[in-house]
Amino acid sequence: MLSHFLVLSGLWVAMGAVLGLLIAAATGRKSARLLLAGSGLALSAGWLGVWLLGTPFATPWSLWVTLLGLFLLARFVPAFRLNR
Amino acid sequence: MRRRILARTLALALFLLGLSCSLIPWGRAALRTTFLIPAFIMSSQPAPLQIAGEPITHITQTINSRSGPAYLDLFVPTTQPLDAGTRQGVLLIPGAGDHRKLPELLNFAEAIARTGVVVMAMTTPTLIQSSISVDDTDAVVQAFQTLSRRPELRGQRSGIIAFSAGVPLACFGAADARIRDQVAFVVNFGGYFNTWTTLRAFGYRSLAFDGLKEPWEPIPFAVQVLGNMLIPTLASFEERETLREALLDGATPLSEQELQRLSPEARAIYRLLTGRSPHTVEADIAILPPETRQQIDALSPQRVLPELKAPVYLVHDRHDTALPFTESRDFAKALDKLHHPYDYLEVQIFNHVEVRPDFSTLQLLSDGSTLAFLLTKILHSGGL
Repeated sequence: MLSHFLVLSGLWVAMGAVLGLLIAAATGRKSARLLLAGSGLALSAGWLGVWLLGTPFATPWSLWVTLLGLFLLARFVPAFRLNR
Repeated sequence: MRRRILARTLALALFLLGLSCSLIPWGRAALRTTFLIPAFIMSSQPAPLQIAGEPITHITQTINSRSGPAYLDLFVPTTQPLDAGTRQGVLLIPGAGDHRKLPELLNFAEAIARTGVVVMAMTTPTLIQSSISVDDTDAVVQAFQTLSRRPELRGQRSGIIAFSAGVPLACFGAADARIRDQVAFVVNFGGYFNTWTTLRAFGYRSLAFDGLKEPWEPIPFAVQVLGNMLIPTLASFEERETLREALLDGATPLSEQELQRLSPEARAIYRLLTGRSPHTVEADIAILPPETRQQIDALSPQRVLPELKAPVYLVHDRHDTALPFTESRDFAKALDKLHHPYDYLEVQIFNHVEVRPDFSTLQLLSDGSTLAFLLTKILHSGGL
């Protein structure tokens, strides 16, 4: 069970990084912080999804929560608005 | 600029996909279907389901019913999410024979459980002995109630999925006043509707539908199961044993002299089951003893149709050689007449209830997509 959730956590981290890159491309910001924030957000959202909805729905839950979070970060948090 | 628009479009599409698959009931049902269809068709659990699915545990349990013990195999997700609506139950009733260790059934039960559903597979000594008894209705009710009482379900309604000879039991159980309001849906896969028309198909060795007549040859096991249902109604022990042995797979058919030594009733049952005399089917049916007629009436799911409350989903292989596909067509017609919610799907990639090894890509695409649509509908209507 532990290895199962380890694999899933790894998947969420990777997914978050890809979503970070996607939001960076969508907003025109090249900040590497988005990539890191994406990984962290996706991991936390994934675990929140497991707790709230159950494992099968945790990944799609993490997907939209991470995208929303990244968008808000890129839009409103000054540290993420820098183009570097 | 173009790249930015493309990235925004992709992000929006992924956002909507994630939102619908996690929070919207139709999307959740579609996600479960995406996990289940490959597991069902390939008879193995695909990697995405193993990674993204629930960790599960297998529990065996025996309960007592009026007809004797019922053997239960539970497949339960080990985590408990906060959202009470995410855990629901399915009672699986496999067909005749002992399927408790059958890899296909275990795979199917485990796959459903990995999508977050508590699955209970049940069987009874009668089913294990390749027969069906109306008395097992209580076992179905008891199993359903045991499932409903599971703490993971928190009072949610559960569905029943039955295969082949499990179909009449599923119908009798779902129509029982003790549980009929709690049954979310009934899925009948490759079952029969009316024992009389089934017996006629065996006797004539042909199917009549849409004004056509099609030759039909049942597999020996199906003949044996129908025999196990009818032969015990004969009065003579000796004749019961003779017929039972004569219907075993690979047994030598009774000679004309041996047949003549049997009572007219036993001879009629033998001829009907073996299709030995299609031109005397109606005459053979007419001389069946009252006990046999009573048994045939009692074992017809048609009998309990007015008492069914849950939506019924019928699936039948068009070239089924265990039970005629026309039975599910008749079931659908009867439900339609009663304006009872139902769906009927005729498929080609199965051999009775197991996936054929030799289906074409076109058949797979066609049946796979219609099955996926039906499964999404079932999961959604059942609130799973």
